[in-house]
Amino acid sequence: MLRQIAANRSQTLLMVAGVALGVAVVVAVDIANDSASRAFQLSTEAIAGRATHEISGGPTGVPVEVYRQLRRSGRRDAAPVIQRLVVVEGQPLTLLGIDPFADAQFRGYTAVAAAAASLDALLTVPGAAILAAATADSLGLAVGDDFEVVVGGISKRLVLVDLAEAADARTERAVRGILLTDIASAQELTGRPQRVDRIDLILDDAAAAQLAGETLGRGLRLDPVGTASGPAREMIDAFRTNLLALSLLALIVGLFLIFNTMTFSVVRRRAGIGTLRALGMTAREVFRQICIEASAIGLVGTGLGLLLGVALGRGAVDLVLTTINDIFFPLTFRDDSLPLLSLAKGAALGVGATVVAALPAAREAAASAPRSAMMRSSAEHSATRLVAAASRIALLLLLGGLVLFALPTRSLVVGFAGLFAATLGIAFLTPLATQGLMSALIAPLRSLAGSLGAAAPRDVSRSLSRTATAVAALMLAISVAIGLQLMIGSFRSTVAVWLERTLTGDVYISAPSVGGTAATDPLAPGVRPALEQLAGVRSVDFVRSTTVRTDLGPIRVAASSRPVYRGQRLYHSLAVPVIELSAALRAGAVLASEPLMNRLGIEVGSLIAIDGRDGPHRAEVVGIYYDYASSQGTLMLDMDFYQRLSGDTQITGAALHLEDPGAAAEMSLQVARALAPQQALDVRPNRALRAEVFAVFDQAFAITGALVILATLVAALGVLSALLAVQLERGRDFGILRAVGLTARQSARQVVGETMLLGAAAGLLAIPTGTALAYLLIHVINKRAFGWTLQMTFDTEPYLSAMGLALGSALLAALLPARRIAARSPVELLR
Amino acid sequence: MAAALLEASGLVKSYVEGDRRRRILDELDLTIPKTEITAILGESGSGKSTLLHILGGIDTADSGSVRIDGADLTRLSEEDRTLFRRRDLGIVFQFFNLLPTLTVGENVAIPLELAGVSPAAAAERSAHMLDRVGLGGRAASFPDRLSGGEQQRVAIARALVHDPAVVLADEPTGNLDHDTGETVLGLLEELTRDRGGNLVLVTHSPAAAAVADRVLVMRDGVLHHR
Ligand SMILES: Nc1ncnc2c1ncn2[C@@H]1O[C@H](COP(=O)(O)OP(=O)(O)O)[C@@H](O)[C@H]1O
Ligand SMILES: [Mg+2]
Repeated sequence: MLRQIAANRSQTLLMVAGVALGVAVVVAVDIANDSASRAFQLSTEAIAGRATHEISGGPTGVPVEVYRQLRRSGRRDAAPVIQRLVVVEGQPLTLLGIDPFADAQFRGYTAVAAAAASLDALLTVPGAAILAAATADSLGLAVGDDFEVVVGGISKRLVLVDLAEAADARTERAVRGILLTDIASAQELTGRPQRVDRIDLILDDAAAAQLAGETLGRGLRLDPVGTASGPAREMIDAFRTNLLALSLLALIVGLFLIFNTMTFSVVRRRAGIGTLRALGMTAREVFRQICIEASAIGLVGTGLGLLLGVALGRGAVDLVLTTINDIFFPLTFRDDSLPLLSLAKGAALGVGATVVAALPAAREAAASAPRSAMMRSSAEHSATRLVAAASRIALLLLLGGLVLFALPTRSLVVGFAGLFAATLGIAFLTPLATQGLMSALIAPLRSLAGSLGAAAPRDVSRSLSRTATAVAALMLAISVAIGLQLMIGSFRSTVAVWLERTLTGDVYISAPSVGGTAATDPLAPGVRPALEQLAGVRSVDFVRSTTVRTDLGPIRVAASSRPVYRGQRLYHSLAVPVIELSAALRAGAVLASEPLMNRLGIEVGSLIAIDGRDGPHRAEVVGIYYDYASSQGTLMLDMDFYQRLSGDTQITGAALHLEDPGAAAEMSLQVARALAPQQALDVRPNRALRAEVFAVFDQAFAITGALVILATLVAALGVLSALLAVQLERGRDFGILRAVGLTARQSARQVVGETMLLGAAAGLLAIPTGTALAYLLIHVINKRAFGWTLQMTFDTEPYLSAMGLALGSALLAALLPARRIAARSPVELLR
Repeated sequence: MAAALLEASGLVKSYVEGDRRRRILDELDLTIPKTEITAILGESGSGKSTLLHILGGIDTADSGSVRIDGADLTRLSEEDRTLFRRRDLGIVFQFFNLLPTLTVGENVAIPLELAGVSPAAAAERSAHMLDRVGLGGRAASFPDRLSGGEQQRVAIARALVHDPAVVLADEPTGNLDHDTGETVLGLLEELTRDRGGNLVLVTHSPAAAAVADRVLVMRDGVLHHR
């Protein structure tokens, strides 16, 4: 057996490479997904601690008095919390303001705050803070040092009074991201005296019901822990599902490759196997032999794949975390431990898949009659059979895909299943389509290159039983490239149109965001009047972005001083004419963004109960607008109404409309400089903000591009391995041609030409497939995953680059076989 | 004897088998006149095909020379040997003579197309040549539709279509039944005599050698007159 492997070294290497790449991609994505998931969990868990419930009070927070009352009424298992993302020396940290006496039972690592030494300092030294020893170390701080902390663009100073130690490695990672202070210091930092962000509680169900029954105070709410991060969790899961689907694609392409190569290795040895059978080897022994061979290859490939996957995974973790940070949720910790489960999954998948992919070949080998040496004719017979069988399977898969899409569900997994069925269905049509294409090419190629020109497409058709899987895999990878590019392009142009309509201001002002997350830190109180007095400014719009609690859970709101600017917004549906919208919003109606509609299943006319300081307000949804700023969805309110409802008068952003829009860049600098003493702000001209949106956008799709390239690489390997097998069978043909006077170079050219035909077939087939894929990605997958409607736009670029990819990988795959054909002497070829 | 067209002298070819070196051709000399049918007889494994391949330039000798019209084939580059075959050589093998994805007509036209004849003219000459081997109506068929004898006749048409200086045939009847073999052999002889050309015919069957003007026997790596 080992001799056999050694004898077909290049084939075996290809198989190992195919398995390795497939496994590597799956493992890398799994590691990245897992790491993202755990970072999310750690971030939320470490901060929630052992709390089961929390009392929250909307944008203005919870009055400290509520906490005092709870304590007075004998409830010991309650702790107030102020939580904010802050920046120390450019490093994002989570500021946690706590009550040192109450907190240790929630978060073990805060026990240090209650220890005699620090307690004294926390309560008496203004701005006393505690950091994890490792964090202090990396910031170059020692106990007693003071340091600068930036909260929403405003700088304050703190003093390091003690170091926190974690009990175990898990909390250690979490504690590293935390800056601990006393509640009073935190209030000072956030500029909200007498208020905390929430009160954590440890309650059983009965106690929770009882507490909920008591009047908590108007505008307060008792929720199980995790409610607030629920929507973010959902979005991250959708994002991870997308990545998983792509990694599965790479694996499928890898499987094609394995199936392909295993089949060849059997086909090529059929005569030998026939002889062995004649000598008394049983069918079962043959079967077992092939399976053992496949397992050996699977093991080696998987081993390499795991190594590669871990290396790739490290890079992928960064990409995924950055994307989640930018779009979904601020993560301040990362978890670099190696997930053994990912490795185990990858290993099982690699070895299992190899053996499964080899089963058809093993069965074929076992079924070959003793001494059936008629390789050629049986191969050709199987070519016709293959086209028919593949087309039947294609039909079934396509039907299955249709059924899955027709199911009345919003499930992303069902969506992806349908997508896979449909795409695989088209992949199975490859043999038929290739055959048709080749027949059509005979005449034009004959007039171009004579008899050898006519022979090329015939050769391609004839070798289809060998090459069809490889072409299908290449087609698959390339159509995914087209589909994704079209989808991303459509996404981009939809967002561009939306930005055009939405970003009508000339200069945008907000507090700097921490770790890329959309900012909800307020502007300092003096900023608003300063902006309103600026010369050269026609008008200023203000917005308050925050989260409110509703009967449908926490929802992001944007309360805007001009929510219906000049009727430019694009609406999905409206309950009243556009000109009456402003009045309706002033009276307390709301607009919902499309993703919110999809996520919560609301529509025009729905009522949403929004918590206010005087109890809930039932707001009517009078319109659904298209919005791509948040995939969780946003409620748009009138600023004045919102302020009356919540008592929250803070603002988080401002847009300046200038008398001379051309002066935006200059004005930005001027504003930033003028406001610097109060608050370091992000002041950006329209154009810069737009560029930033697209930068985040492209970042989000970076990992997608990498996966597609990997899948194409695997597919190109498949084509190469198929060609090596075909070339082995066609050596004699080339021997005759050489004897008749075809030069070595001409033979090489013929091989390259025929392979380019294969590549062209894959590329041409990928055009309709990729377009269909883009359609499904846009109208089904994106809608289900993120809830937004994209305008499908067509661009020639994806098609051209896909064609280039197809021909390029064909060329690459042809080089080795062509060189081999050219290097062998005619007599060697004839043998 | 007519003027020599092809002269081989001192040809040596050996193969290494394990740690042993076997000499298949051992200082072999041969002269082929311009217009003669030469038969080379020899047992299976005696090195006939090896010799023929070296004469045709599709294999190389370890030492010795092959001169055609005064030029030394063994000194030419691979590329130039190929160009020589294209112009001056016609060859018929025992098996696998035809390209399966070319029609019969295209199979015969290939040497002409390679020599730069326009496809239309090549097709015409190919059709004419197929007429001469009695397969006029089969130009559009693919080889797998033809019987073994018909396939060999197509191979003969292809070997002669470009009017080469040297024609080599390696057991052209080896794979055919007796009667078909006779017909194919007769055709080869007739066409060679008609065009006043030569033919080197390699065979292990003494009966086949009957068409030859001269019969040589291959033994111990050299040729003997019979
Ligand atoms: N590439 C090769 N390597 C080793 N031995 C070879 C090779 N080609 C031919 N031979 C050996 O050379 C001898 C002559 O072969 P060949 O010329 O085909 O004989 P013939 O055509 O007379 O039957 C045989 O013994 C054969 O096994
Ligand atoms: Mg022989």
